[in-house]
Amino acid sequence: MAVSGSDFKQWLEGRGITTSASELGRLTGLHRVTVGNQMRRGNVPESTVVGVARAYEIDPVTALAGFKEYEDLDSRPRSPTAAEVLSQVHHADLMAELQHRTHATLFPRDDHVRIDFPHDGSHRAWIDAIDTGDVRHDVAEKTGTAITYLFTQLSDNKLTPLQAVTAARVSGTSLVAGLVVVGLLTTEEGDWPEDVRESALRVIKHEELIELIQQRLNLLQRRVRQRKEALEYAERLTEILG
Amino acid sequence: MTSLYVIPVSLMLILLGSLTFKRLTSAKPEGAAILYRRSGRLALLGILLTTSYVLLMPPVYIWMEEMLPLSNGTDLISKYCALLAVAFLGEHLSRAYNSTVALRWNVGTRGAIAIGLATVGLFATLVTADTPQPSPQLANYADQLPVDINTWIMLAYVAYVGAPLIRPTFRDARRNPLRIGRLGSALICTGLALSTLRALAYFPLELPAGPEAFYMFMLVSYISTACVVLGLWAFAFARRRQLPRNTLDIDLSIE
Repeated sequence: MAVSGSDFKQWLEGRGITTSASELGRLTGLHRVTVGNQMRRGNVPESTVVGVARAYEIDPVTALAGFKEYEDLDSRPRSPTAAEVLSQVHHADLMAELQHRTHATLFPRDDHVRIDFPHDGSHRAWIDAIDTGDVRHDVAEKTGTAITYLFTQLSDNKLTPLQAVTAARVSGTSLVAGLVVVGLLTTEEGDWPEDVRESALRVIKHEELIELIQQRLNLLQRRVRQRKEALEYAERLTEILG
Repeated sequence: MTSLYVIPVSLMLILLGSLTFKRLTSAKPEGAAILYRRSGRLALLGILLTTSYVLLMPPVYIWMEEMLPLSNGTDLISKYCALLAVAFLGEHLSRAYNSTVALRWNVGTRGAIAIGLATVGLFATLVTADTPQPSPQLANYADQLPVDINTWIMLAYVAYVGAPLIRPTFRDARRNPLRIGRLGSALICTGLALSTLRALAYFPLELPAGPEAFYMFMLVSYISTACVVLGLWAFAFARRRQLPRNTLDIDLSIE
């Protein structure tokens, strides 16, 4: 999933930016051959667009909105919902908050959420946070992705920018938040207030916190079980055939 | 003796011999004790296959022929070794991939009947054929119907054992959590598929192509054997390096 090479060239020319692969490579930190190949093959990843925009101090959201796939990107408020923010808090931090609420003296609260995002399962947690019904199937259908492959992408934390924006479009939430979640944009570029995760964690109600932890633990339990099964399967086969 | 025969057989011998030697010497427990391990049967398979190829080397073949009462009996012994190796492989892979269909075909009464029929068939066709001079793989007598049937019985048995294993190996080539495991299964699957294809193509393609094409089609069998053996080696490599335990992380830590 990427923007087309010709659109990218037009976009560069429209802003008076060089189309030289070596110059673009120097600006984005990518190898010139990589940039050249991306343009020649007609598939320029969003990260290259954002890299060029950052180098020329163009707002990355505005830059991406210059492409037809993302033309509506800035049409909704950029700020994420509380649920989206909390989806990016690791279960260990959620449990630390629960411990603090249980016994503030024994478990003093830290000023900052300790684990940064994206973390294991953060893409899936974000999709769960914005899901209003059947967001996975809608994203799969609209982006032409096989549903099983989308599930694998979510398990592996490999949601693409276009899938994230499509999910936000379907759910009616901020179109930019997904790009922050997948790591394409920084929190500053996505207009996420500073310490937004800490604030969200402090104001969440007890029952909502417990429910969130419960959901995450269920996911964790499933993931650990799947990994254990995969290990046992691989070990058994290598033991018999090796 | 054409180089098209000697070179591939020698290469196969080097490959099989070295991998079998490695399997017997590098694993713990070493030597004969390896046969008691779960994968011990594979070491036996390696020994049988290597023996089968050793017997096909022209000097060994001629030396054996001087001692045997049956003309070209060495070819029969070589084929029996290969037959036994394939039977061991079939049973072992069926259990490893836990395939119900493959287990039903390759293990128990059906498997025993199949190998029994192949054994009798190979002997009967060799006795029926007129093969006065030593000729490894009976290549000089490819114009005789019993010899054609003899070759086909061998191919058909390999296909009988391999065909039900194609699906489970293909599935594992896609879903094995280890990359080297996927590679190993893909190689095994390719080898089994090639063997099956050769058996299916024997009457419609190989025979009409004439005796000159025999060595070319034999290359398919050599490649398929090499694929299977290398696939098994991939799993042996993963086992030696303890790749499942080292690669697949079940730790909760994200540090």
